[in-house]
Amino acid sequence: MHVEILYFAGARDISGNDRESVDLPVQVKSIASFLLWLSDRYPDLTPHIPSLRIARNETFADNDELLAANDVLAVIPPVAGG
Amino acid sequence: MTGLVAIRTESLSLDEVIAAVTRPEAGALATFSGLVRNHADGRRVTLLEYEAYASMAEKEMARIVAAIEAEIPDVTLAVLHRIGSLEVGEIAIVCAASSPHRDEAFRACRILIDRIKETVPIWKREHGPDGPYWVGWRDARCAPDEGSGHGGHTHGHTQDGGARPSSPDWGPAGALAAQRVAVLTVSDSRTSADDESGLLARKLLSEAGAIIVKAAILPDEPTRIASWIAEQAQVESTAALVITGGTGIAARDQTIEALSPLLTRTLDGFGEAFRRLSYDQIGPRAVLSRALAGVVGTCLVFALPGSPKAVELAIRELIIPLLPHAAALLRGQGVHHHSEHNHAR
Repeated sequence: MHVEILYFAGARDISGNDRESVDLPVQVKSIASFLLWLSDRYPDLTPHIPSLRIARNETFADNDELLAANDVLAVIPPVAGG
Repeated sequence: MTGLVAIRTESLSLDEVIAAVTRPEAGALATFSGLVRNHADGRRVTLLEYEAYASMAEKEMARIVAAIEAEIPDVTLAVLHRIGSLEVGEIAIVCAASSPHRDEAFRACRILIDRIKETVPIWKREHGPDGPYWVGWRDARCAPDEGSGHGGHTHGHTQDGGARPSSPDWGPAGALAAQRVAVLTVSDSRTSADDESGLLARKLLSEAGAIIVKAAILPDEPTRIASWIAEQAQVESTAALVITGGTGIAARDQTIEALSPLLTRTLDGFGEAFRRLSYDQIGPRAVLSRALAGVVGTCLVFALPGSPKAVELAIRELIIPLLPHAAALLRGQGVHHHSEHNHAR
């Protein structure tokens, strides 16, 4: 399944990209499994996984939310606006 | 309808948000300005670099504004947030709230800035003598490991390798502060999409301050389970493995068969205590669990049943209270250093 992934702040420092286009393996169906996939792809992200949130098409997504083709998935580290 | 809500790269003016909320019915107008200050948690700050997921940040701010305007009648809000490199004293955010009377204006303005800080996807990187640092981004890697891979250090890891003490944005350090733990789910049917127990285990452990260094799902195949355990246990910095699933009595339940031959020591008390606690929840069925713990090298290994309830019980009541002391003993840092040493001779 094809998705666009956006990385911000500390997550981008680890991924080395601010965005990438990826064909996810078929077993990656939900936000939770996407997080596991992400932690395999970027082992240095693994310790940060509990503090990351995923925004799916510009809205924060729950762990059990299912992915759809061409989703834009943003990896959101702890926010610090203001 | 919401008025002025935007992310800007240019410098901000309070006048602009004031103008956006000024109206004849509003006799009260409260504002908030957030400025870059020269220190944070004891670190000197010379520059703050703001970054946003701009399209989502604007939507999120508009959502917050609309929600507050719905909660507090007759309030009108405006907010501008700046991104880019800001020096000490520059304005990062301006908020304004107007309403017929002052109570609502003050309250709405306060809620607005609080909620923006909580959820809007904006980040800041501090620059100063200590080097750049993303605020809130816990540097979870142990310092002795950085850049050196494995084998570059010896014992004493858990003591000096903790998370940065200066990470208050991330929440309090828990009982398991900086303990490195790997989590394995054993199941023929679960996938990462529905691994409820694995997720729960990782959540509970990380809430207690542990660093989850590895997470995996394997089918009930003893050779694969055993090689995962052996591989993870030999990572010197890993304090414990938590395995969920495969501890029952059905033919496919193979976790204990995989784990037992690897254990250099068995902690029978763990299984006894777990079944004792479990008995209070589920009665005699508790004895059908073969939950087990032991030591592989210097790594603790806990094998728990696959149900979320059992995982929660074991982690909360046994693993969190036990792990720091047990890990210290295994590394020769505990009070029983000498006796353990002689014993192991």
